[in-house]
Amino acid sequence: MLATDHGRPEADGAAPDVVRAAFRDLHGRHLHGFALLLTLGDAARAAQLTVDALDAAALHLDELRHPERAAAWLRARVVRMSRGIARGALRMQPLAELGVDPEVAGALGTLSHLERAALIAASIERLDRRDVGTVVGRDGAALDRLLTQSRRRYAAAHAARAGEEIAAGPLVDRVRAEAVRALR
Amino acid sequence: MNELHDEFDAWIAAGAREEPPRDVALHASGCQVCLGLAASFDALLAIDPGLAPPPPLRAAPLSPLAGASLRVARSAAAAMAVMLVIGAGAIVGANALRPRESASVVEPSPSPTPRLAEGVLGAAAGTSATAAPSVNPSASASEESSAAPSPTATPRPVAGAPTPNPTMGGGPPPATAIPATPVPTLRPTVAPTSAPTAAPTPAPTPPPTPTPTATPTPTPTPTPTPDDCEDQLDNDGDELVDLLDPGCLVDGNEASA
Repeated sequence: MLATDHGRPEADGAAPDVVRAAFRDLHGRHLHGFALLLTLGDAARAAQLTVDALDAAALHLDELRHPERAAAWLRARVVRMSRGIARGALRMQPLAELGVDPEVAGALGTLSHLERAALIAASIERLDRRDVGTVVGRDGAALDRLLTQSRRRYAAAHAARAGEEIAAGPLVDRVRAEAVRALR
Repeated sequence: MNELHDEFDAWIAAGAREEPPRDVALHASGCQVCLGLAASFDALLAIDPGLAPPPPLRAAPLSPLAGASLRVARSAAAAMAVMLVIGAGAIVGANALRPRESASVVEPSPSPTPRLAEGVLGAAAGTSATAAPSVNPSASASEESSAAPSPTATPRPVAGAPTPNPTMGGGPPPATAIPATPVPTLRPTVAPTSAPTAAPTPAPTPPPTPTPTATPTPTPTPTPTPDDCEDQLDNDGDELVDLLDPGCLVDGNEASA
């Protein structure tokens, strides 16, 4: 809703600061969280990537009238800008604030930059397939391959770190419920 | 069993958006590995990026990123510079080698035409130092630089055998008086230099010198002539002695007139 408002300020000749503030209010936290996950908790870099993406978005309002497209565009910008930067050490504290446990963080750290971006966009943020494609700059079979590979690698890495105990969760519950249904 | 396992793995890898097939779900509910896979994605669902703090209003403007891209650019530039230096070095090296070969090939060609000119040029070109040792002192100094100069030296002796004589003693005059005076005066100077070197010579000299020196040295046979005009004897029996004999004025040989 706000994003549609973003189109108007520009049309009305609103100052870029107003537009930037609107973008920041709407996308700031989630985008910052995405950047933190992508950089494995590098707070300084994540903040810079986020601010840069928000600033850039204020200059490309005509491309970002739809809120979902704007979210994908901003994340794509963060992914592009952080590509090629040497990966720093895993910093748990900023990640823990998002609900990331050490096993998940360790498993995310085993993925490549693009695999991590795809997994975060698809499995954490639950963006739809088209938006995930925008975020990682792929589509069609290449996107499917990237998603499948990132999920498999993440699952294998997590399984290697996690203990024997299976915690209840939405997906585990779904599987168990389906099994009970099959027995009836 | 494995099939069900693989099917569950494929279902998870595909995003687990639809319901799993019943037999697969039945298998997975009792399979620790399959439940572990499902639990790993449950752990992802527990993450909420919206819990991140709001981004700062203005982060330090891109400095680390710019720094990173600058670093990349710098390293690329450094790599380019290294490549250029290596390339230039290779080119210079190749050129530095070629001239030597061509010089050694070129030098002998002018030699056959003018003998004295070659001697002068050889001295002027600065190769005189190498040329001189190659002919005479090569015998004395012998082995030290024989490997490199030998190719240049070998052609010379043939045509240049006479040249060492003028250049050694009569360096300055050679252009003006070719056969006349310089030759006689030079002889004595050359002889002594070769004499001391003669001792060490025997072993090394044979290969280069013998052939060249043997033939050309006789040509300046006029060598005896100087004695002819300075021996205070009437060598040709015309009752005119030494410089009084017109032959000595013509070509330094009493017998010439």
